[in-house]
Amino acid sequence: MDTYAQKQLHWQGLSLRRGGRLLFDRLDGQLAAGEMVHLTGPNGAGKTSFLRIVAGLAVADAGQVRLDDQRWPDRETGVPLCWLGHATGLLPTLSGRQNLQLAARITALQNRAAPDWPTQKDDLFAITSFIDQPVRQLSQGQLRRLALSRLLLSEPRAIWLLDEPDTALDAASRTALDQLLTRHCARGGRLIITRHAPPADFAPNRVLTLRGAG
Amino acid sequence: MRFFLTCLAADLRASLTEPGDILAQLGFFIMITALFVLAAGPESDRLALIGLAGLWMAALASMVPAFERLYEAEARSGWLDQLLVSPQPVWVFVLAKAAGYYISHAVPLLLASPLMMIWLTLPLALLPVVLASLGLGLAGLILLGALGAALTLGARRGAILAAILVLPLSVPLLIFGVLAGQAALSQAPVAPHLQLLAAAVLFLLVLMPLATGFALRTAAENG
Amino acid sequence: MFDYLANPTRFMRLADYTVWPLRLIAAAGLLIGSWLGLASSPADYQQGDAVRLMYVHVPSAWLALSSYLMLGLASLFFIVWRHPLADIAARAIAPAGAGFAFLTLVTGALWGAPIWGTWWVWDGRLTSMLVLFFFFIGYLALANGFDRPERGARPAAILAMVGVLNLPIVKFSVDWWNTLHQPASILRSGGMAIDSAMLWPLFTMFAGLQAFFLLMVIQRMRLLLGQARLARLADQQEAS
Repeated sequence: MDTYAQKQLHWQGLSLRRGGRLLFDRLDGQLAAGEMVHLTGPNGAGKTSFLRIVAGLAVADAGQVRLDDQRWPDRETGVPLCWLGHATGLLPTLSGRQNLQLAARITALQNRAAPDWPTQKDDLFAITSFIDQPVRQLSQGQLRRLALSRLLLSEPRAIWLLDEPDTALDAASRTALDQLLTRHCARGGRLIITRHAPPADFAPNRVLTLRGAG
Repeated sequence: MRFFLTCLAADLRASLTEPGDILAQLGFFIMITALFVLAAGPESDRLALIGLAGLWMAALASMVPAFERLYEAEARSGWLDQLLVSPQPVWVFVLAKAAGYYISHAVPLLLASPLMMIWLTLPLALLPVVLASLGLGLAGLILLGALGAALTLGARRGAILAAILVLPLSVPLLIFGVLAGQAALSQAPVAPHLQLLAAAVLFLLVLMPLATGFALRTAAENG
Repeated sequence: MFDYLANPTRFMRLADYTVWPLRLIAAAGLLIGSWLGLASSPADYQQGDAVRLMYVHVPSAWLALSSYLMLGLASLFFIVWRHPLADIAARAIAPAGAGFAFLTLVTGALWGAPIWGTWWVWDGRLTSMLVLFFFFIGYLALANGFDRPERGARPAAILAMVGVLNLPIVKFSVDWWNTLHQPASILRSGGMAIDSAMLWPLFTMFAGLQAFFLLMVIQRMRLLLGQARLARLADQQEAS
């Protein structure tokens, strides 16, 4: 079950060209268990594209991503991945609770989201008060907190790929997020995160910089 | 299977929150049929002959333009990305969307068809054949629309484009469906046409979800 | 072999060699075929001079159909193996194929006009060709329907493959429709006894048009590759 925990996610020779511009070329790197990597670079440098490639949502023009020797993504092996892009990933016509239950079903963690979730102790982002309202009535901040709560459903040693998760977040939630990130890596999970204004005590293991196209 | 039901339930729940869309499409169907009669003239002997064609064209005209927005909610909210990252097979989602769309948009059309048949001076004895042929035909059309919508995600003029892609592919459905009705009208055997229609729909049932899953992945790749 | 050809520079060099031979075959075929077809072959005893359109109509129909199949094949290569030239090939084949489908429809209508007394009749073959023309239009619309030009390549490829699989069904359904509605059907170019004198012009026109088609495709591919190369050089220039 936890066989993926020791495997290394690595990429080699990644190149991407968008709209005629070369975003990055012959990128090599890896993400091992327990690592927190901060992905930085100027706007338009291709950070989101890079994350999407690592997530398996996009394909690079050249190079490949692998989990040890296996090709990636390989949905059969069930290596848990948590993706949080700019969009919230919440269906507007459902409620927060329905969305989270759907999310739990999608990742096949069917025993995870019990009907009375979240309880007080899991409610890291304070969503209980609006969890049953239709999502389209919620504010940006509330949506972001709901989206982040999806992380709480994640397998303990999963790979997390987070693109600007702090957007529209209030201070309390930011602190909660940082605690969550640290906890995740301490338990053997790993993550790559992009964030515009990291807090002062943000301490990633590594910083990966995309210089962008000149 | 459970995932299929989950997606179907979510889709139906979403449609129920927007009953206006369904009613608008139904209204469009009814209006086009009425205008067809106005254009063709109400002389009943002539109308009955082309009435079936009019009914099918009204059904096509009211279904096809809305395909573009089939995945709008999922794509815009980023939920599609979540699905693609998950271990769930995308074709099951596609099948659930098609089934949901059929229940929420095709069934009302079928329910309105007896009235439309009366307007078109088609004998009501034909109702079983019309329901069977239109029912199957709309199923095939929705499957094609699922692919068309996926291929045109993010395109300019998505609605027209999806229509241009879907309509040529739907020629067999139209032909077999209308011929079934016309056979019933002229007391000729109906079964061969319905069987061919069913075979065509079965073919689409197998091919379209797979091709659409592929198309959805492609759409996400290029964002 | 395909990996060998995948290198654009290598392809362009090989393609350069084929251009002149193709030009010669096309010119020879079209000129000789036209002369044979117009002047030296006999008029049909029942269709008169209109039958001469067959010499363009039949090869065009063949080219329209075979080019759609080629489009499907190129699309398959592009999707499955991400072969870079496959997309270029598809983008070159599609307009040429659409053009020949259109030519088939026009020559078919002109051929039938004196016989039917009208400009169009829903002959089974013409109807199928019309739907094939719609397939081409759909492909071109999708391939060019996105703000970023390369975004349309993969959806169009999927459409082409689905189209190839659906084509037999569409053809069958049109034939089915045809037998039940029985419209006029004079264009039995396969059925009518082809005089040996008619075979020569047909054959040469076939060769000429096929060469012309291949020439169009290769020239267009060279153009597209050249444009891509220019864009890349411009990028490098900008970056340095």
